[in-house]
Amino acid sequence: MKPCPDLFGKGLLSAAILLAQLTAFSLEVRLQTRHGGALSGEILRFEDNAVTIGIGTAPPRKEVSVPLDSIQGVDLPTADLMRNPSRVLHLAPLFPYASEALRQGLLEGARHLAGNGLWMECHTWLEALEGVGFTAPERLLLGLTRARALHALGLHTALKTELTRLNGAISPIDAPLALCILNAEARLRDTELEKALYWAQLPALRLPTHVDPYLQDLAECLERQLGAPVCSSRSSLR
Amino acid sequence: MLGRPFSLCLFLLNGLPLCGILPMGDQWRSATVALSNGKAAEAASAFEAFSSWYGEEPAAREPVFQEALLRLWTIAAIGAGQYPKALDLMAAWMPGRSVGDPFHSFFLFQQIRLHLALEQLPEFEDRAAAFLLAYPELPERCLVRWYLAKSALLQENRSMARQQWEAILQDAALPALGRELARGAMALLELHEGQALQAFTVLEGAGEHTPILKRWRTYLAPALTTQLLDAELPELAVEATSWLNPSTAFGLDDEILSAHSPSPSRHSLRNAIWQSHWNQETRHLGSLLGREDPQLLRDYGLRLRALRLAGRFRPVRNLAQALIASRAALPPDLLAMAYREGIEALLAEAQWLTAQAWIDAFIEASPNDPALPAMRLMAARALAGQQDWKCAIRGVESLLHDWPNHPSALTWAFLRGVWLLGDHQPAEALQQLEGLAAKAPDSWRPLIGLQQAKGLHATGQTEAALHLLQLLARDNQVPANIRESAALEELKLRLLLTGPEFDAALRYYRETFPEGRLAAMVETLAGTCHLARGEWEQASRIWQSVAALPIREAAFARQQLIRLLPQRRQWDTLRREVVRWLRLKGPDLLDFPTEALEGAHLYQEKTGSPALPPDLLTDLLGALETGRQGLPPLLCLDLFEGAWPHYDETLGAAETPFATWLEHLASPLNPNPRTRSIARLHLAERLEREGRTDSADALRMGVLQDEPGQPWEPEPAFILARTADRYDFPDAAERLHSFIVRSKSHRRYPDSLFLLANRMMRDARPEDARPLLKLILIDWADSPLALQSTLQLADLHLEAGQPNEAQALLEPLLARRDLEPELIAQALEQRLQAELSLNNLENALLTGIRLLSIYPNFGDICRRSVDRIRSTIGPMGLDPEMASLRDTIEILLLQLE
Repeated sequence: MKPCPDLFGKGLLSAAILLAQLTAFSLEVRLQTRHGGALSGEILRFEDNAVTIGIGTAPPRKEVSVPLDSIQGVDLPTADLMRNPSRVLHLAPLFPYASEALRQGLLEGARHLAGNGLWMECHTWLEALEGVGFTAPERLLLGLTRARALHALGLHTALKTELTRLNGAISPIDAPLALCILNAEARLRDTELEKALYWAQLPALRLPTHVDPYLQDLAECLERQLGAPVCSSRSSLR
Repeated sequence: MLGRPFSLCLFLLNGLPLCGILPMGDQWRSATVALSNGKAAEAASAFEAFSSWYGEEPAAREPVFQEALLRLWTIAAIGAGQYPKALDLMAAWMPGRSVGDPFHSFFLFQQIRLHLALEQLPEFEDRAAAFLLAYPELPERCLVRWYLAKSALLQENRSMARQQWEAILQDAALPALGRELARGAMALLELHEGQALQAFTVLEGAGEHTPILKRWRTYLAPALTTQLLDAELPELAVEATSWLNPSTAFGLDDEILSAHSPSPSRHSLRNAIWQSHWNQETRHLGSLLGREDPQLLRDYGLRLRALRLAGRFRPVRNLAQALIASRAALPPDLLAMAYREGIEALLAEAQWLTAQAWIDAFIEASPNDPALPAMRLMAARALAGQQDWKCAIRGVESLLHDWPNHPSALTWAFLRGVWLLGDHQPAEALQQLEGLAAKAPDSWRPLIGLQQAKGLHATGQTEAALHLLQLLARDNQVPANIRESAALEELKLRLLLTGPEFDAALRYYRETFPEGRLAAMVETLAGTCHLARGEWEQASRIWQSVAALPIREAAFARQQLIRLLPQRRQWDTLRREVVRWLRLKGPDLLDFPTEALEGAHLYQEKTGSPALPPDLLTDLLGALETGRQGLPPLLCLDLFEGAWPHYDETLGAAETPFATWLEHLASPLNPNPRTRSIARLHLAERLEREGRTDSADALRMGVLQDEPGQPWEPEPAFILARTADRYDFPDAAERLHSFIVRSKSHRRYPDSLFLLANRMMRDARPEDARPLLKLILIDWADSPLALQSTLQLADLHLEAGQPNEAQALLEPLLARRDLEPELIAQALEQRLQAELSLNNLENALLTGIRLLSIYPNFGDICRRSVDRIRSTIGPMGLDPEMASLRDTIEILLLQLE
């Protein structure tokens, strides 16, 4: 693997960073260009809106620099990537050109990390997917995953921003259960009890009804705090 | 199977050439082969030809062969749909066969089916009874009972049908999914019978969630909900609406029922019979259900209505809010309905202002919606709810003007009459109601009569009103609810007259409406009557009985008791009532109502004995630590202090003085932030009582800074909001607003409105201050703050260039005789300003003279007023009379100087 010339010789730290980056790029990639060409090789580096890949295994191997705007499709082995999710940010420039298979792989990766409770990695992963053209349902799923990650990481301000975005993207009548729970918890945190109750009650109110034990308990607790109409002194005298 | 005779006949007849028919053996073979290939019609005709040609042959008459012929021919005839022929063949097969013989049960079962298919009901019932008697162990008994139920339905004998379904549902032989289908069929029957409660019980099941039951629930939920609501069972209706699923397409899925028979083999005859039954019944029941498409509008309409009628207003509001927020994804009709139900819920909760905001939002969003009249009526009702009768009447009048021929015009006119009564315009109300009575349908007359009686009383014609009420209450043609209301109104009037007739009217009510829905109210009136006559014991007894009931009036009765018993010095009874009240549990009851705790506090003050038993005391401390809705924490500490030597041990502070315990609670070492803050607030109250206001406020500010986000009960929430407002904390407005939203019936409510309004005015937001002040005038007109609020509101109107509105507020104020002079002077100053704005110069000058001559002590007010007059009314160009008035003012001012 040929080192990056502009970083060479700048001391131990630079060498360490270089090594880390090289390790990050040691992934096989398949590129489809706009002109119908197909290239397969190892990613070496990104520079000046171009990606350099090394073709062939034995030295001297050939290095090819491909401008990003001439790429039509990219394929990467996401299973390898998932083993070390922190590398994903380095590869983000390629994701806007992701093939269908890679898109699905990236989605699966987010699901897998969330499913295993690796919220920090999941958050990084989702950051890298910013430029990918997902469908609306996929965007909703990713948004929800991001919100769950932010909640788990305790990043409440960012969570509120994400929830505002998600609430604008889907009608409350169709909001997934997870979104209702996150909204209820965020409102509760801000002591907006009425709004928290709204989100906690929603899944059990709309049709088809969905009774979630956690939300049910929360709603009952909130209703108790907010108080049902009671025959207190003045109202009963009217 | 056929054995020797068959071989013999084949041997004898093999190869005989006959025209149109095969030789005997071949004919037999062709028939049996056709049958085994599933060609039932072909087999039946081949058997018939065989019988016709060879039936009399000795070989064919041989009993074993004859049995086989009849049996196979019967099966072919059933398969070919030749039911009468099949029945004849079975009748020929049966003699000589007995219970337990091969094929006996099968043919008996087939006879049952065929008689039912041919609607030969007596024969069917005879055979069915014979089967159940002969083969009680066979699982097909379920199917036979099923047929019996269907036959009963054909004969419209629904009780028999229900009996059979019940037997089926209890039969262990029925496959599980079959039971679900039976359950659906039974629910359908109950619904057709109008037995909503039974249908609900059948469908509710015991925690079973099979796909078929879910589907039944979904299909039957709309009809079931409607019937449950009609039967005034809204709680069950809410449960039924939770089964609605607008996204489920119609169809009872045959596949769900496949492979559910008592037979382990999928290809057995028994399995075929059961499957055929399930398929047939699924189709049949599906056709009875009717094929309705999923209806989002209908389903949500039912859900919202059921929730509202069950009194679950907050869920109605939340669901309606979600529907409104999802308007892009929903049909427009649904939006109007969501608004309507949400507003109804808000009106029911007496949240008038929010209701009005919703109505405005709807009218703005859908100005041409057909629901507009209904919405405008709701707006008028919201105003009436706020006792803003004039605006409500204007609202309903505009409806009558815009839609004079609307189907609801009668209701609008009626409401106009009722609200005129509310607005103390009984003469106009009577005119409206009398006009209405002349043209309304007969069914409306009693309702109108009830209001007319109120109008008559309000115009001083109490005897006429009593006469009308008596007529209504004693007329059996009048609906019972109106009769009962009339009896109640009569009692109210009799109570005012304090004559002996009250007892007669009370006796009449008690005898006529022993289970009356207004009984608690009537008993409350009786209690009040006894109290007025000084019959303390009777009053106390009545209120004690009402207080023990789980009804709304119980709260009033308990409050009355808590007030009455101390007056009578019945301390032990007071304590008993207080403890009983505190032990009451229910969804609408607070755990520790303020009045009860006040009663306990009073008891302790007067007797020096502890009011609360140890268990309640422990509960109270727990509630204090966790924070409980409605609990007045400072009063709790007062209560502890009142009998501290008795309580200290139970509260875990044996031998410790109360002050020490309180300081311990208030110290930063106390890990419970709630009790820590409460103790500090209590200490602050003590300091304030000692006149150390600054120290008290310092403590309160400490609480504000330490636990900024803690949700508080009304009393401390108000104290903290007031402190935040006094010292300009950034969240002061938010705290006041939060208190206003959450504590509408709290005694500090008007104070918080007033503080927030002043804050708004300081922030130059008069448009936000105005509704707050208006609210004080509407809801808390008897509060001491109402006077100051009136002046401030008038001031805002003047600043906004609305002198007429200002005058409308000031006139009733100036007509009062119990005002402080300074307030009158301020009101006069404002009236002068209004008159000047309206260019009523003479009135302005007269007001100025009144101000200067009667209230010269308020020099600043007088000077400001004169300056206004000088700047508006110059000395030149006035007629002599006006010039003289102006001069008088100048002279009065000189005297003042």
